[in-house]
Amino acid sequence: MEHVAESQRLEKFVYDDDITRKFVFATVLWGIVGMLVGLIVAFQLVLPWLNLEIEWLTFGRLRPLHTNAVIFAFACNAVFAGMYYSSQRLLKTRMFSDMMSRIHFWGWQLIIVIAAITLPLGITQSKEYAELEWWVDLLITAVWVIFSINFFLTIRIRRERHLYVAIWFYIASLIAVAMLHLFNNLVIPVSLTKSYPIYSGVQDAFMQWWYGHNAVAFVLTTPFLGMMYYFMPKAAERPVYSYRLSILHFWTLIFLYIWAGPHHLHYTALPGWASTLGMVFSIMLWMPSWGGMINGLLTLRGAWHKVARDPVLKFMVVAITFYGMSTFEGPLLSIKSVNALGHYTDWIIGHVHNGTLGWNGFLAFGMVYWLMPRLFQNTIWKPQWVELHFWIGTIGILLYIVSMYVAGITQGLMWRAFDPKTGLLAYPDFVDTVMNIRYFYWGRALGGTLYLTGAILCGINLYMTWATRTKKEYDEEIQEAPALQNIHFGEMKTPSRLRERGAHVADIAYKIEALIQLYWHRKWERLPLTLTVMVVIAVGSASLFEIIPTFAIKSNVPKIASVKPYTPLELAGRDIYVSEGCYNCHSQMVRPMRAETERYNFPTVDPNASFASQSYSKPGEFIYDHPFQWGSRRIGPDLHREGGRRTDDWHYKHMMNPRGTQGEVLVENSIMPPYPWLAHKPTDFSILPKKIWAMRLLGVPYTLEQEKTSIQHAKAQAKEIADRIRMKGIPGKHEDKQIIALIAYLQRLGTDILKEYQNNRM
Amino acid sequence: MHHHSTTEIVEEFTEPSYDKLLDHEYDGIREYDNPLPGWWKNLFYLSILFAFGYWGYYHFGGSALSVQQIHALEVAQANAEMKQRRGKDFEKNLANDFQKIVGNPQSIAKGKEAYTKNGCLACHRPDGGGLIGPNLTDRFWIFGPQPVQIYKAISNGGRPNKGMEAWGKKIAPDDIKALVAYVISLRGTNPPNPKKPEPDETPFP
Repeated sequence: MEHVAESQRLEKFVYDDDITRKFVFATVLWGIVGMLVGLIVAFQLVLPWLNLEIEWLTFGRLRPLHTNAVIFAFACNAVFAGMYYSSQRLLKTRMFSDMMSRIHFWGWQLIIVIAAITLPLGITQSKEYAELEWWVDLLITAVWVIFSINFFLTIRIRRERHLYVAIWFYIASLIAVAMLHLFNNLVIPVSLTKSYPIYSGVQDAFMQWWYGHNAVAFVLTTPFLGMMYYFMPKAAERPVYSYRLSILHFWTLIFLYIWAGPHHLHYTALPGWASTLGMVFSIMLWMPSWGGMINGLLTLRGAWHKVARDPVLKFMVVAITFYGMSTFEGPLLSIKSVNALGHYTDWIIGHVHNGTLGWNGFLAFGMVYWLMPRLFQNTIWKPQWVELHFWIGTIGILLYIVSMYVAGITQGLMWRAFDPKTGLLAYPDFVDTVMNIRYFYWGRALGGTLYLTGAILCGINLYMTWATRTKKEYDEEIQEAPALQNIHFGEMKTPSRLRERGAHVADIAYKIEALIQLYWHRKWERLPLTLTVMVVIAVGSASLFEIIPTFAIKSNVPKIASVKPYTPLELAGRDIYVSEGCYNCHSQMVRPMRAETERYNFPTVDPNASFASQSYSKPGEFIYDHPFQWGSRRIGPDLHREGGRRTDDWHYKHMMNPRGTQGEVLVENSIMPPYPWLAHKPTDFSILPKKIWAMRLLGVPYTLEQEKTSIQHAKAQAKEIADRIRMKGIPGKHEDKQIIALIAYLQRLGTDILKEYQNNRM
Repeated sequence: MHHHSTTEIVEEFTEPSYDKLLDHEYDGIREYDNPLPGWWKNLFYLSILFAFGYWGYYHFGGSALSVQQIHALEVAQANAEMKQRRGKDFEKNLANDFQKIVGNPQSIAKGKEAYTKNGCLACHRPDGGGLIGPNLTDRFWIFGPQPVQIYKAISNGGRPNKGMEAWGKKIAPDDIKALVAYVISLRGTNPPNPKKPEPDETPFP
């Protein structure tokens, strides 16, 4: 092959590092912003007054802003920085189009700014990490398509025949994210600020966690593995430990990951088979994940002395270690009986931050520090700060995750504890379980403060390294490489140890040798299209295997005759519930466990009734829920059996001030923020016919008559509730206010099924 | 050239050859062709075996019970235990029990404590004068003024949408009995600004 290369004329080109610089700045800037919002919400949980009674700053609206900012602004910008820097070098070419690179950059930053405005305004689809409304989703799609075209065309014009493992991971990320984003965001828009997903209830939950879990896979794992495969051997100046491990863990990882989503829905109304699939695939995913860790850590063999000196390597080693821990913890938490304890608790928050602060954050920071002198052609402004950042960051992570583990497991155990003397729940008052973990909430907030401090040090260092650069114009090193030639694979000499040894064996032996030596994969690496098609098959087939039965098998969601669509006012109230982000703290999913059916029992049902213990949520109860509101965390109690538990005026007072007043204590020690604006913001009645129209389009059995009369109907129901609370001594005219619609929804929650039971009894 | 035996060929592939560099290079990055770590491979195989085993066992095999069925068994067992704990004639004995409890200062003190601890005062006011919930000091009652009737109202809860939940799930029977004693002790205390009786409350003499 060498003589061919020699005869080839060398081509000259330069890499586009300006785009990497842009993404690096964006990474650190948005990282600080996203972590700051995270810190604010962490403090809001211990100091509820920090919600400031301002609607844009309440926990329910800021928490999605935090998750979106750190995932899509911090992590994604880091991924893009890493991808643009490494791909050009691994493919020996400048990006296909500088213009497309910049459309990608500015488009993405625009999306982030839109997210930072719309989420605090309560404009949300309420699906975790897919909160942004339909038109922002379209914008994301457009930018992603431009980015993908640019990336694939860069592969096309490459000067390196084979694609390195980092590129495989990038390809998988591009393909899978596009697929996930499209299918989880299929909605019917009602206005610029509201849409309804085409799925409902169980199916919506299934699609959401297929998406949510794989966002972790293809946004926070695969591209970061790709970056690890480039920056780790670069920084350590050591060869990658094992090529064949790369191949095996890449394919098994992307194939197995896709199936594991339902482990987010154990013990819910999801069918048992799907739950089991989610669990066993998560367990099978353990070793493929660890393949990446092994390849990362063992690459350092013979270079550990460098780790002691070089903070960049320290960041990377700790990142990979946290990757190993969280990918062990993931399968552990996916085991149903472990999940029964951990789900809805802070254990999950600890697990997530183990991965994000440790793996994503530290890999990103390690990469940024490695890039800094290279991108700005200047020494790092304060090298000792890098070391400092590493240590306070590491202590911050440990403080954070240990606090969350203790808090989560404590709360999980308290929820399920029964008093052996009385046989009743040991902690029937939910707020008692919250009070017990508040010290750990402080620990988390302190850990977060340390971590953010580190990020700020990085930001200052980055800015100063740029500001103190000596060169006005960066030197652009001219690269040389021969153009790619069309060498047919068959012409290449197949390396064969059998042939080297002169073995006399049957032809089949050579074929087996090629298979075992993964030589076929060398061929795929030469053929980006083939590789891409294989990736599509791997992630697509796995998805279809789960999605088709979930939608096709009727018995997965048995209908319940007494479950009826919401009234127009309740629907309006539900949309307020969604908009305020109530699902961030309250689940609507009573699991079939005695500790739950006791705590979240049917209110006011004779305990001797045969169905009294059947209060766990049934799939058929959610068929009109577009979107589902099962939630993923119980900072407050579950609300699925809230309907009819309390009076309308209790809800009114509780929303105005959850702790009540001095003369009238409601939930002492509650950490819920007050929602005073609900009492003066008007309900939008005029949009109701359009909402009902959209629901009818989605198959919710409203009649045309109901669509036409929805406004009158809603106003009549609102008047009833408003009259009721006025009779209870709450002054003012509330019939057209949001609070009334919300109360209507809360009082309806989970009550329909009772009619079914009572009818059957009679 | 000589003929290779099968064992030699097998050895060729099983023999570890560590740190053999592959001939390709990407931007200076080289790769070893190291074999997969044995423990890694074995744990991977084991996890696949486990997956099939688990699936078979829980969906077709020995313990093919759904989580809902397991829950029903747990509830049945707990109910049986509860019956045993409370004694066979718990409900029948209630009326008798109250003869000793109502008016007993110890029971009233215990009931007062339970009244605060369980948050009754949030709806009925610390002095029982009524807020969201009805006034407990007057002669108007929804479920009747008798101790057993009050016990059942607390234990089984009130009417839907009225906020009185089935406290029997959360408060032990002895505490509910004491609560009854306390509530009865409030009768006729005439606190300031009491809540007016609601239309569905029935006056008792």
